Amino acid sequence: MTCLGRTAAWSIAVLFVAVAFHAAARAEGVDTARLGQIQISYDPPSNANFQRYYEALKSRRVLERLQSFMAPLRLPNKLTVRTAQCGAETTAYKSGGPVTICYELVQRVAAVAAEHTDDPAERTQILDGTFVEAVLHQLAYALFDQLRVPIWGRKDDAADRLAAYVMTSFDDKVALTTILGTAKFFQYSNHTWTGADFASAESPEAQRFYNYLCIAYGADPITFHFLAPRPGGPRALPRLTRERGARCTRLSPVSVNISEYLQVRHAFDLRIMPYVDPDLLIKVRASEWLLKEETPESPQ
Amino acid sequence: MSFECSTRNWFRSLLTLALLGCAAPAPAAAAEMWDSIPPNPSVDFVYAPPKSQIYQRTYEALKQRRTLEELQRFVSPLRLPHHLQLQTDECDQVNAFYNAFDRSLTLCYELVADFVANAPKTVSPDGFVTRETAIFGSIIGVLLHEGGHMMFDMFDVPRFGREEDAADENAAFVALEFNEDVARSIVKGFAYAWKTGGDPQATSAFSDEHGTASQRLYNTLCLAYGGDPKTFGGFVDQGFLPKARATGCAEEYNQLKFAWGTTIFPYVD
Repeated sequence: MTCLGRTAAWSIAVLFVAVAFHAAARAEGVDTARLGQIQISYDPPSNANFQRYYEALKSRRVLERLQSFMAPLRLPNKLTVRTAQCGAETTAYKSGGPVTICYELVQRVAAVAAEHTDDPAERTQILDGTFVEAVLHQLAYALFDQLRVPIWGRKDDAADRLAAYVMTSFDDKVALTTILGTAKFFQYSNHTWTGADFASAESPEAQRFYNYLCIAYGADPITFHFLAPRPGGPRALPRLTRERGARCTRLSPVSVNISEYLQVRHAFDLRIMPYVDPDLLIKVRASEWLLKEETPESPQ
Repeated sequence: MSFECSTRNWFRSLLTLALLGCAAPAPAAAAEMWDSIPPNPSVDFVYAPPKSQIYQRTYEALKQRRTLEELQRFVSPLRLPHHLQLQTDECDQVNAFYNAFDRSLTLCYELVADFVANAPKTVSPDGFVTRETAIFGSIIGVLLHEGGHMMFDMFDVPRFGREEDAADENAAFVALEFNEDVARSIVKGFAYAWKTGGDPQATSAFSDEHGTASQRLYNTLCLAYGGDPKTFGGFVDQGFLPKARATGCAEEYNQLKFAWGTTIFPYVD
């Protein structure tokens, strides 16, 4: 096994430990009888290179845990959430589902994390954050579809903003891990967009990076104070510009009436919240998402 | 051709055409048509005299053409829950903006002058727009974009996507509600404003709440093609809109049509 491959394998193992939701581990606190609308599936890969990701995800019961996390959703129709070999890193959501997380994406995230940082905690953060982002992003598509949500703006950005909103709706630790992990993956992707690339209906990684940070900063300017457009904070992570920072957090003098965060929150309250069981949501929120033993040992 | 001369007739007549969806009338008939439409009682307007002499002609031209009076009538069908102030002004920036604090929509003389300065002398080298289309479409497109911000605020429209993209979408959607000629002029002129812009290279530039110039161009062309592939099929045939994006444009337009119909149409008489 190459060094990169060994590191990636280690990283993914860490991921599936770290993404273990205590909410699910405490499944007895969640009404599992109500999980019926969310179905899960681990599709075996045909490519042997993905076998270890398939096995790791399955043995760690990652989807079962996500199923519990999504229990408060009162979806009108069944939705399958699966892991699969897609032939690409992502596969577009189609009406009716399923939500698909590709083994190819998991492999790439592990590789990017291993390539850009030797810090085990940061690798874990990137793996955890990006995996959760991938699920929430696709889940957003499913919600837009099943709940017939009117979407202003590009749908992929809307899915990102909803995913970011959900990430910031739990405790600080979850918010930091998922938001920063996601943002760092985009930052480290190093994909330069030129010319007709911009014709894509999806946004460049750099734009998605700032979109996630903007919602996070707007949701909790204290926890995410280091994103503020002023000196201080981790130098490895770019900050929001002064202009964008103002849009994220507060009333703006022109153009928008409320912050970007409040826009999403308002939309969520109006369009999604009616389909959420508030009592079950409180139980899920009260649970710990991430296991405490997040700091991994150094790779062998 | 100066903005003042070129817009003397067509600005009024095209906008009138847009509203009424009929063949080009004489200017006098256009004025008569406008006058037959009652102004929105919730809307006032003002042409603020510019501080700088260089914008004096633009100010006088917009005033003489009764631009804001016509805009006041253009929004006549909207049941606005708050007062709206329309204004032209010298802003010390090349811009137009909706201010949610005092609910005013401002068209800056600097922006109008910029559109005039950047318009091709006759036709753009790639044949995309004529001078008239570049100026007319840009101005109307910007007003429809800011009108989107205004309606999002006034009608408390929930928006999961990015505000600035949503405002561009409103401009494209309303443009397509007009007759083919007017729709083509607005879409092309609005898109031309982005076609001549550059895309950012530095990561920090992607922090902007607006999409890049190319993104805004392709978004506009895509919605136009998706909403009316017959009229705007040339965008794909001539290579202005990549086929890879074009395949999803009908779905993008339908998404916008559903959003517009669900969140704004209930406020239209």
